[in-house]
Amino acid sequence: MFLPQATVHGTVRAEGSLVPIAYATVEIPELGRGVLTDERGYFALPGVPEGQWRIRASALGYAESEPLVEVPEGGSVTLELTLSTRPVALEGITVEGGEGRQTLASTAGPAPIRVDASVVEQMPVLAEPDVLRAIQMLPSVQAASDFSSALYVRGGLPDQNLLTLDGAPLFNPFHMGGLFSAFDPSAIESVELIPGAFPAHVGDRLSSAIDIRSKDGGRDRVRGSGAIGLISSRMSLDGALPGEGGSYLVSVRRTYLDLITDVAHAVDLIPVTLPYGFTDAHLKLTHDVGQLGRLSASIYIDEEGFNFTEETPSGDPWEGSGDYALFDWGSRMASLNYWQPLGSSWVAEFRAGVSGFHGSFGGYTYPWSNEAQAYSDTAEVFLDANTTQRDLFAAADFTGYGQRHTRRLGVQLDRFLLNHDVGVDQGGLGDVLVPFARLDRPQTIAAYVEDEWTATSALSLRGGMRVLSAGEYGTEWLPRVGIRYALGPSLAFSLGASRSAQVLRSLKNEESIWSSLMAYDLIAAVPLESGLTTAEDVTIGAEWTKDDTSVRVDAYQKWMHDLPLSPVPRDIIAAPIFATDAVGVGEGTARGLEILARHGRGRANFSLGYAFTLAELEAGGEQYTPRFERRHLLDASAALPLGKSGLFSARVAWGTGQPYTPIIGVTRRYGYDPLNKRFTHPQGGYSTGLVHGEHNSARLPGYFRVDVGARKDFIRNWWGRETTFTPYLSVLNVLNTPNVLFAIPEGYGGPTLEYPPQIPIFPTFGIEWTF
Amino acid sequence: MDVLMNLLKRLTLVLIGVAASGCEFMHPPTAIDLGEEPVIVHAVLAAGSERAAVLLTRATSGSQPGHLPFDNESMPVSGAEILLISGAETIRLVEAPAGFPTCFSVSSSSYGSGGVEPAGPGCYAAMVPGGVRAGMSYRLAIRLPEGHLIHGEAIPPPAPTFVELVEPDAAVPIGGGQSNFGPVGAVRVRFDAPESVAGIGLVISGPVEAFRNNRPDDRIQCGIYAPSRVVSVEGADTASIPIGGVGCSEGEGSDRKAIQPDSIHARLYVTAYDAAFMRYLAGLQEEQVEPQAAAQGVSGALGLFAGEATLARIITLVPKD
Repeated sequence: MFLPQATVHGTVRAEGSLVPIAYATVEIPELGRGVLTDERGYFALPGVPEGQWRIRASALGYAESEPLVEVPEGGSVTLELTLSTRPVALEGITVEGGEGRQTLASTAGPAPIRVDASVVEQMPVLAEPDVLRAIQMLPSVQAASDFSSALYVRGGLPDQNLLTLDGAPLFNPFHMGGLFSAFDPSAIESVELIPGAFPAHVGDRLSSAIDIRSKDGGRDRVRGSGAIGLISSRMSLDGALPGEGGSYLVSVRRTYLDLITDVAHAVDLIPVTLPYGFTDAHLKLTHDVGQLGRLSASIYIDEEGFNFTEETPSGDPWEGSGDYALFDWGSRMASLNYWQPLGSSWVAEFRAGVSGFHGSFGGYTYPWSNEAQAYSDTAEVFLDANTTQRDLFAAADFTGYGQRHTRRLGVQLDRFLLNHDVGVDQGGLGDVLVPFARLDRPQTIAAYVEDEWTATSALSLRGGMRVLSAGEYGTEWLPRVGIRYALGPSLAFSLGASRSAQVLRSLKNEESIWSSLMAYDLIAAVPLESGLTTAEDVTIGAEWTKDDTSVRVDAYQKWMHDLPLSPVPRDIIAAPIFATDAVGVGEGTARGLEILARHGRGRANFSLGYAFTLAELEAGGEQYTPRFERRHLLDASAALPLGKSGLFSARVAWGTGQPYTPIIGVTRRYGYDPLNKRFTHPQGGYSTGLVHGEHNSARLPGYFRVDVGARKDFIRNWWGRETTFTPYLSVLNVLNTPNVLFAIPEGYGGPTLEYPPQIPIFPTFGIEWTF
Repeated sequence: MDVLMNLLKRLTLVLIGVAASGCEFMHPPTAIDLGEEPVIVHAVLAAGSERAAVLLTRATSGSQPGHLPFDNESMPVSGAEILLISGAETIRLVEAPAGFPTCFSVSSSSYGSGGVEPAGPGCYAAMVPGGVRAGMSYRLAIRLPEGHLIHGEAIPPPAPTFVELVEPDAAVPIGGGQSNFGPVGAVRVRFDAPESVAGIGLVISGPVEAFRNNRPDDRIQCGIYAPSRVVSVEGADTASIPIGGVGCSEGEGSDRKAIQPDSIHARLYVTAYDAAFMRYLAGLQEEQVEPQAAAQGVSGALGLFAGEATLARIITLVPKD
């Protein structure tokens, strides 16, 4: 018998600030139906029969709300549910989908992995709290070195990650070469990582999609937060826009590393100064449109500079070299996002914007004149490099919520401008940086359609197709499937498979040691001859959640095709950082097992991640393990109460050593005298040669690091407003374990291998405040 | 000039300087474990030569910190059994045979000079009845005293079939002493190399015959400074060898004086090398080499087993204005 049914939908917000609450649970207990809100706090419960129902809304840290709602015979009911704050500390890495509930985010298949902002702030930090460093702690992710916050996800390379801020792609959001990311942590709400088995609406990269969501501003009063840290200060403010229904968030960060190193150098603490600076800023405006619709705009800027412009030859900036430099680089992004429910069952989202990275690197030298015994007055250019990477994008997504089916379809257009022009005097930089010029203008259009079917309360299935068309680079059809089966309220199994493609690739040589120290990518298009790079991946997983404990296990296999790989270098120090023309097309595979467990008890929480990774690349008939790969990686962290308002945190990371190319022999090479038919010492060459083994066929010593941190809140009431001050102290590598970055024969000749170090013991301190 | 390198260096120095000043923070160096020090074979079969020789050594890995023990002299490998096989013919090479010259000379840096030192330990040689033949396949079989087997194969190429000087009478600086190494002259050679030839080597050497008033004058003694050269034949049919200068003098002792003859005759040696030799040569400048580059024409060991053929011509050099 057909019963009249209606859709109950709406938004869950925090009481007072009216900030949307993402991933809150909204359920009708009597019907046994429930959903999670999306990142905008929106939920939709279709197919609710006519009558009076209790709608229960709950979220971590909030008191439950259970209003009685009258549902009509048909149509829809729009609700705005507000939850009051109830401080329950249950913080940590949150794995969603473990309770077998249908969520508005796609859950049929392996669930995305989320990192809350609280984790970013709690864990021990390197100079600055860092969202990308927090992601590096997840078992799906590896780091090339302590110095780089670039992400290597499930055997993939950093250019295979789609990194978005509020849905807009970003290029190179790093500071200090990649030592930490260019995101102000106080402006971040959460981060979501999809490391494979992509739903059809996610694309177009081979290895992961990382979406960073910034906070919405509160609407009841002005809030602020800030910090004075070791090398920078930051400040953010949020509040209501004039009128009703809108909010703003603005955050700014600026370093004073240059001033600190000047002082440290002046008192002989460090041997050199560092004339380097960075700034980043983020502005987000949000405004309601109608009862549920929202319009938001984001502007993101990060700027870095390395500057000697005020120096002159007599100023001797490089202590005797007569050189000076002017480097400027950074990222910018501006986007507009309009989200609007269409009737009771469809939601539309439109976004458009521009994102880019720019760099200008000028190096000048005043030649030394032996005659005049002085530097010349006229500078010569020895480095003139410029780069522009830009993505002009527009997208439309539509989601339809049915009682058993959630349908998605959408389209995205990207118009890239990728222009690199590197002019360099080879005499100065050797082979490490070679001159090249390259301009690519790929344009892509991607479209998808997807259906997620909740077949039973335990079984949900997802199937979709995405197509990526990149003009002359080719078109790829990309099927995506996912299954999720809940075996009771605590245990769920999932299986997901996807095919993915991308038109972009980095020119950086990942096997060069400089890639371990520098996270920036110069992005270009894939070679026309090989076309789009593609990958297939399969993930099978299990999630168990009970009370405050969750365990997630994923096993995956990934195959990558037509990878533009740099030539394998024999000398990872002298190899060019950027490979341009001499690029080979290869294949790659990665498989592994990941375990992520967490437990929370009161204000304490623990997490344990383990990853087993087997990654392999093949180019030109040579198979090798990529330099970043650690076969086993264990990462354990804990946050424990320290008194009533303090927190002690610790992290232990242990990993297999990264691969390196061993020296397997030494040989003598001779010249040949064809007149006397005998060998002689070579003319002008080396008589001794170290013989390399297979590329990356040996392992460096293992990796072990212990980080600790402590923070404590002090609450003061100033001018009638509660202000919290939180001094913090972190010590990275507190045991000063000499982890190694790479191995090099002593003096290039042997007989010993030397090991340049990773980061030694490194204290960081500062104070944060919120009001 | 290297701002980029300086920047990276500074970043590293600042990090380490701030956090670890006074701390020992380096993983201790470890000895490179080479396992068994590899045997190195060096042999080049010269087409037309009646001798064949193999130099068998080990490079010492050493163990003295602070030195470059990898650069020690090679240790000869004695007691090996070495056979050179071509078709049905097998020749056994003998270690340090009497009457044979050395396989390796440390005293000579310029080709064609130096005294004739006798073959020593690690130098295995034998006569080849009828001489080494171009185009014939030669296999090398070595059994080390401990039983390890090493194999090699080479086909000596034929000599260049046609060699002509592009400028028959090359003008080079010819003067007194060796002072005029400045602006150089050059001898350019056009060659016609068979397909099996991968490289051409050029050497100009003595004996030098000086001419005065259009007649040879054996009272004039001349030396030529002309560094040898090997070039790839790929896409080329000419090669040139630079001549830094020719120094001529007359007389003995304190009466010796510099003199400029009308012209001189010298010998130009044009050598055809096979591909294994050229690959070996390409890796010679590298401090670190791949196993494939370090073992050309041999398996089971490092080193070189290659072939060559050398042709000699007399050339005339005239003074450069």
